[in-house]
Amino acid sequence: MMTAWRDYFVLGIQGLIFFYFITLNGLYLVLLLLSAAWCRRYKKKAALHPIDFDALESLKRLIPPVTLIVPAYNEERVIAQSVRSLLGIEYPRIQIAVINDGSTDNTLEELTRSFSLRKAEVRPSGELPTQPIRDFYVSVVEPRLVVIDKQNGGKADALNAGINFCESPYFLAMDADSVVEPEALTYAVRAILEDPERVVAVAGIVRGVNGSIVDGGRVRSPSLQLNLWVVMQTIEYVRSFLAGRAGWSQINGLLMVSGAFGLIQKAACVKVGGYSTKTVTEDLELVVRLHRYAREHKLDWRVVFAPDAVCWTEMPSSAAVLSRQRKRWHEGLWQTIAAHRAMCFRPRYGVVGMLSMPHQVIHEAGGPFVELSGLVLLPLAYFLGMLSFKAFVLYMAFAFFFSIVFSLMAVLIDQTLFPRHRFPRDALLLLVFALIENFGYRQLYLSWRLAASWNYLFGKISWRASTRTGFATRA
Amino acid sequence: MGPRALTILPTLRELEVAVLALGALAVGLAIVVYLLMETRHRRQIRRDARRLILRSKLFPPLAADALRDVWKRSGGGDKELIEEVLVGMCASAADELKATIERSVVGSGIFDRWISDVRNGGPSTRVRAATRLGYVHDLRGVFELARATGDGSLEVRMAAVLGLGRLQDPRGLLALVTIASKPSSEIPDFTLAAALAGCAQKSPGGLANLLRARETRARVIGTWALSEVADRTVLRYLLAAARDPEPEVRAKVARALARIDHPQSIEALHRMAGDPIWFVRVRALDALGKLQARSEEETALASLGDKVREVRYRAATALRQVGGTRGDLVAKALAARSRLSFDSLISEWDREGFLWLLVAGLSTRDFPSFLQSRETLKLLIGAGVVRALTHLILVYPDVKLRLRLLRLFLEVSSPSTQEELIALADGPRCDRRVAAAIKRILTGPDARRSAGVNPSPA
Repeated sequence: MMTAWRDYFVLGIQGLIFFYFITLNGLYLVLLLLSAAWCRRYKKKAALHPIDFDALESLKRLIPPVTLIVPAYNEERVIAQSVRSLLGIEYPRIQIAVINDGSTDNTLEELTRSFSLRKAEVRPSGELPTQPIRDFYVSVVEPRLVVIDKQNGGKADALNAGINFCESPYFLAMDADSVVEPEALTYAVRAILEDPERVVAVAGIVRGVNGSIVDGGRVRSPSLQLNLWVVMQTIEYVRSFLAGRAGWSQINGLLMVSGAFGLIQKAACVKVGGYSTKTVTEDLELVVRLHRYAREHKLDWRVVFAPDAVCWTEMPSSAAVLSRQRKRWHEGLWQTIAAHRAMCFRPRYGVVGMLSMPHQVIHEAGGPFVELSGLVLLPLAYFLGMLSFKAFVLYMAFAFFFSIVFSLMAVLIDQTLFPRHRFPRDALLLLVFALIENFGYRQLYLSWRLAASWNYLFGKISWRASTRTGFATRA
Repeated sequence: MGPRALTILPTLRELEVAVLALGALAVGLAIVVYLLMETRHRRQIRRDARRLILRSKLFPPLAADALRDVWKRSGGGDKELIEEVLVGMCASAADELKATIERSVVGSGIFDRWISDVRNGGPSTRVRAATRLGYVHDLRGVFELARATGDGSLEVRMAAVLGLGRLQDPRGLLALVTIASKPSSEIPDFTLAAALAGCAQKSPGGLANLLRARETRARVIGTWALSEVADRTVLRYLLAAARDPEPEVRAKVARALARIDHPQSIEALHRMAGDPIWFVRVRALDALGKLQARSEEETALASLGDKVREVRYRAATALRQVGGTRGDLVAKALAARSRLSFDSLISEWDREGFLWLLVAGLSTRDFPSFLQSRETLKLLIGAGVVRALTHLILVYPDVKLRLRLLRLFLEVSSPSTQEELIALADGPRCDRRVAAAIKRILTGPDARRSAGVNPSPA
């Protein structure tokens, strides 16, 4: 009797792992194909984009203004450089609002020194509740720049303060340690102008600035830093954006508009209540809430991806910092799933309810447990004589093989359609690391996600700030 | 007996082969990916180098015959690059040089080839030809692009619309108006409006039909284009459209009216400043500000009390544009309106440096201005506008004016502000002369005497 139950149990686990393996790889394959086809079309279409400023001068005056909201908490090392990069954006109608979120370092002093700030009698008001605003500064030398000094309340709270100040129909939420390419905002706005009635959010692509030279607020010489963690993350980013989000965007199932570069319609954001201060991944949660609100109110809103709207950001270059970041992301994922669990498997929520959210639950949040059970139970079953060694090895071989194929294809899309890195050095690095990332790095990442799941289920979640080293600049 | 555990039939040897094969496949795939990337990279470098060579051949612009020779002797790839170079030169050249290039392109027969391509080519050829026709101004090209706006391919239509907008030829207007009149043309409204504005620059009256269209989209696009090019010839159409049921149209009409300084447009804008839709009110106030309509000062002052923040702020901007940042307007806003109106006014004006300019007015070089600044500042300090002003005591470049501002503070401010000033004097950023002045006046013997405390013998 016991033997029968044991067999049922092991068979059940095997079935679960098989189901996970098939659905995950099947979904990734579909997304990869969708992404590849769409990226090709996009690249072709981009040559004829509808806001070609060089082609039509009057476009410059007709485009909507955009407010760039830059929350800054202890960013003294990078803030001036970032703001300079934003001032270099080739978009005629921008306002930059830096939100000093109660920094304890010299972020405000650095801004005051670099941009000759003076205190102004401006009182931002708006519908979103935030921590109290301490002061408001305008720049004597740069009329497009304003700085809001407020009590610390976290990134979401700072973004809400920026939204309250924002007077334009769209705002760009971004990180203070990011460098935005000059044309990035134009490309992102293009996605809105092609369908202004429906598009409420545009996700840009985030790339790692580590190893590149930043000069005058621009990435002059993109190059990949020869650092295990940086290269691994670069592959992950490329895979996630160009072989994942591009596909999700096609079927209006995109749940992630990165906090480093996300263009959002202000009215829609205010309508859903702004950024949530109750989660550590406010960007993910906001987009899920936008989808939810749209479906519940029968609005045809779309969240789209713009692969050429590039934002460069500093990636963690050590295991300790990376693990903190990844744990935070995973905890935030759990929080978002818990808050919007009602959307899962509900046809009322369309693609998001039937595909995106279940994917987040089964593959992203539940994935670590399935993978762990695979790593623990399959060898155990083997030692108990219940599983063929060959089956185990074949399963692992196929799992690794598919993973490698997805990474290689993503690198191919990246390097041929949206090349940014140095050739051949960086391309070779990416290819080699795409082959070896499954041996060690994946398992380490799995352990971080498990720890984050443990923290969410039994522990305490707190914001874990990353350590910034600042950008490399020309001497 | 329970179910059998999963077993796989292949032998160990076969398994080894399978795993090795998968590994080799992965590495092979990586190599293929690399080769594909390298091929693309090399092709790009070759193309860039060839383009540079051809550019040096084609500049300064060749005569039509010479260009025809170069063109005839070139292969297919080079021909495409030559076209790209010519189009690039047309896009960036100054007017005179551009005319020379256009003449040689038309005379060499390249232009005829584009016309033939846009009529008979495959989809990508038609797109390429339509794009190029949009850079070289020639009447045949305008007509061909106008025809191409009805092409079956969206890309060709898009290229044709952009091309017509770029050429800014009024003869392309009719084709664009026809597209805009359709319920849906798949061309973004924004692009269409910009192209229409380009073509209607010299004759905005050509857009009047759109304003009377039944389709809302057509009216929106028409007014949008007019917001860039409107003049008195279209005033009556705009006045009629100012009563359009669609708020988007009314908002754009307000933008267009901002270009026409006429009593009738001001009257229409005055009415629109009371529109039930907030963004129409915003646009109307914006237009009144741009027109510097002095008669509308009261309208703007009234709008300072609007319930929508954007309207209040735009009213403040309009007031500044209409009558300048005057102290009497501040007094009016403070006396007659709600505190919200006053805050909005100061908030918006100070972003443009209102308080800074007031402090600058404390310079005695211009006495009337000094008196006006002094009175306004006293009014503002009395009304609690101290946050930015105390900061100016710290950072204003002229120390003499800082001390004058300080004196005003001491005349008007409340005890709590005085405490703030003492804290300011103790701060590291305070100029020593300013700090000494604050301490002398607020904590020195005079201050204690006035507070009824005997000064110490020391």
